[in-house]
Amino acid sequence: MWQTIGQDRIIQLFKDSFERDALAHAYLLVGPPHVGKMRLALDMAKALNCTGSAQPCNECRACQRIEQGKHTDIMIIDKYAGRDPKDRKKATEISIAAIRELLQRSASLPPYEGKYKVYIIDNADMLSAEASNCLLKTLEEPPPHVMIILLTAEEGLLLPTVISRCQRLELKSVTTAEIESRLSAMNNLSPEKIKLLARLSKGCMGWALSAVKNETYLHERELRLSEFISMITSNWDARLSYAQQVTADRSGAEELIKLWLLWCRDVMLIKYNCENEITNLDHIDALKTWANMLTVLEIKDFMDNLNKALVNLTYNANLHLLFEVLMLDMPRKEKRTEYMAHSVGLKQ
Amino acid sequence: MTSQVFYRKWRPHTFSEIAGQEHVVKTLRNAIKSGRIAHAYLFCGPRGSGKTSTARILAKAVNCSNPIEGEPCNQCDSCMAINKGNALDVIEIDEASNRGIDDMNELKERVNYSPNILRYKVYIIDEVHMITREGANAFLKTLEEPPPHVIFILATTDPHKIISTITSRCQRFDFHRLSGSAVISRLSHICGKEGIGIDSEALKLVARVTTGSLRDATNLLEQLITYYGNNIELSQAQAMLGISGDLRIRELARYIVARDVSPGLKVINAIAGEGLDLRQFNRELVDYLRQLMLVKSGSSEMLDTTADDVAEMQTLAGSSSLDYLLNAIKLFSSVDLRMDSFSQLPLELALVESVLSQHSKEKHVTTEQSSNRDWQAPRTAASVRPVKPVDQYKPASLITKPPKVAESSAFNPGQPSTSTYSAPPPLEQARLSEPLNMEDPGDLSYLRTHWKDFINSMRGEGSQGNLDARLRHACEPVEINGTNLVLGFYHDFHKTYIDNRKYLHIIEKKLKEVFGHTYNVTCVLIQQGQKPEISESGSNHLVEAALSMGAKIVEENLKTEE
Repeated sequence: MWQTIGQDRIIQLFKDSFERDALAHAYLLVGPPHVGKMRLALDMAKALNCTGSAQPCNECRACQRIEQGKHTDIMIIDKYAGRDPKDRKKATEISIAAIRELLQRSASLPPYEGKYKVYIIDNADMLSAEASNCLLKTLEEPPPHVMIILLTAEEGLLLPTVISRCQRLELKSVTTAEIESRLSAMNNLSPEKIKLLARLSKGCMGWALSAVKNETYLHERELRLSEFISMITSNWDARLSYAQQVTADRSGAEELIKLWLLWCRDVMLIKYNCENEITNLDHIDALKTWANMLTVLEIKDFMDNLNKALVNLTYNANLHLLFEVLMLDMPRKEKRTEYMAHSVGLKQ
Repeated sequence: MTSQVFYRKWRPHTFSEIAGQEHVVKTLRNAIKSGRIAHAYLFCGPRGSGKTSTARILAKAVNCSNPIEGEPCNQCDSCMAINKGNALDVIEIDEASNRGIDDMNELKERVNYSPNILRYKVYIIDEVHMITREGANAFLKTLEEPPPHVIFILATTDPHKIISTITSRCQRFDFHRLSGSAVISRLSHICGKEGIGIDSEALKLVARVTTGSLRDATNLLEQLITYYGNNIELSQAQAMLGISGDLRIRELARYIVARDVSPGLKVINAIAGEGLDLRQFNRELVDYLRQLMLVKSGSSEMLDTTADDVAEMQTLAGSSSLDYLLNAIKLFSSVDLRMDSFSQLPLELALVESVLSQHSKEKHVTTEQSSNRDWQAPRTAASVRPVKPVDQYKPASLITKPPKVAESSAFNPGQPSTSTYSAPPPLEQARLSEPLNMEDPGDLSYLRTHWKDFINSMRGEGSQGNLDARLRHACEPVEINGTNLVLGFYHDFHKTYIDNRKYLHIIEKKLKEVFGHTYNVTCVLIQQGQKPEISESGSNHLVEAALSMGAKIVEENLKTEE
């Protein structure tokens, strides 16, 4: 049983090549984060080493050892591989040492307990320039019984010479309907929650599953959104203190801005009568209020600013300043009720 | 894995099999025929152009016991051994893995020993651009004058990274990116040998998308075969490459031209939902818009499409202006899907922006032209206008150079393309603005929201051109009663100045221009304490903060300047 969800085409391709004995020695799996690249790579490793009948059967010793991460012939290389656990934090790339030690040296040895040696390089875009170049010759003509699987979400960061040596397989995002059906099959979730999660996941099954397991994401999102929604009518004081508050968390900044961006996109979609496409289904009323308050240009300008902020974030901009500017740029509306009160007051 | 991927299986074994590098092959063959073999070669060229393959063939050719016209025979012992990769005297070094000075010193030591079996000891040093500075310098002397039995072949994709003292010691050969026809002939050769039937159009497509790298092309071919078996058609190749066929692209282009955002957004979302390659889609869209632009500018003969397509494009292009198309092309070609390559948001934004930016320009024209008509048309214009982006989208004249009475009737956008500057049909305008804002200029809150814009549009009015300054922060609309608009002033000074028929007339005229509604303006004095909280200064933020914490106002002590 292949455990990868929603990638039937690639699985079929792999099965066919397996049957015809036409497997390539190197694959490059490209796809958004959490779409199931590692799952697929592990499934491939199992299929190659499985001793059962189903290939992969998930029951034989080899399959189980792979699942537990104990199989000696399956090597997962990521940025932490081959590093002292003490300086895990310093790990920013996959070093040439890791490739030489873990991949090249051991690739020349025959498999120890299984049939094939499978090297999975996770986040291959993190390969340093030296490491990628070092990999080239091995990647082009590895010893028999070796398969190298590279996983990446940012194909553009890989060397073209690396890409050209691999069979490139693109993992498409899973359709919303497919995720919905999978989610409804597995758990007793409410239909609203299933719909919301399927949309928030943007086609990444793994993300949806982890969000089901771990409730904190949805809570966090709820909190962040309600804060953001209230900002549209808040005064400058509240806004700037909010900017100060969100500055504290640098690692969450990108996600926060993307959350806002998604929100604004929904407002824009409602403006243009495309309500079927929106993501934040649970806040449809607030979205509509925004849509009534704002003009398309205001939303679009704010979205442009959010996008700019995302770019600036990668340039290591001052976070406090960045959020303050965003808060100042954000369109500001009076509460309707205040207007009314004011005009009533005048008439008296 | 008993089988090999195509690019390994079909590695060329003779010079004549090398595709598209005639200039290199001819020189090398002549050199071998005449026995003028250099001791160091440097092969440079993009990936998949045949550097490593040529290096191996050269190693065979110099060692072959009976070469034919400079070609290796592939039958003698040495050729067979090299083909199998177990010849002791052909040493292939991955320079990216052995890049330090220690590795080079080891190499230098070994170079001195004479070959075991073959005539020459051939060192193929691949990825030589990754060699360290020290390593390269240590290598220089050996590279310049190696023992007579040694040949070095250096291969790299980045010749600019190699120090010039290395380059100058080698015979340099530049491999070119393969031409489309070279790739096609090689691919069809492989297909013939493998017994694969493939559409010639599909081959062309494969050659085009892989831009002259034979390895990429054979990889793609192999994937096609794995997916679709031994008979491959154009449509299958298109499907695998995520090429959406041009139907959707034409559909979206039509909506862009018609400035119809909602269905356009739906098309984009449908494409993203099906998991098609958005980057590829965007490329094709830009290409189609470019064709439209060419048709529009009257150079349709440059396109190699059918007459039907050209006719369709002509009708489509006819309903748009060149400026508009140009703008759309600019916006869509600058879409950066790298930041978040799996989201359709950048495309959606480009669509909205291409429609909006042009819309606001035209809106400006309509406002000017129809300022004497009833308030219907300007209303839509004013309602689309936002509070902030005024400076950004309407820089033309409303702010910086408000038209005088005489000018406004004879206003001309001042562009040579006035005729192509097609004002959108009223229906278009109405539909676009309809869902945006349903407010009435007779409504006080509406007037208040746009009051600042109005003040901005007053800039330059009045005898001294500073009427806006006398209104800004000095007054606000407080009441509307039919056509009577009451302006409340905070200070007597401002009120007395403005309460003059001369100025009131200007204000009324401008009000009609901007809001499209006739007002009779009267001025009253209001207490500053009643100044509402719309001002940006936020003078009362402390009070507000206190209120939000549960405070109550028990007594107001106003400090006025009067």
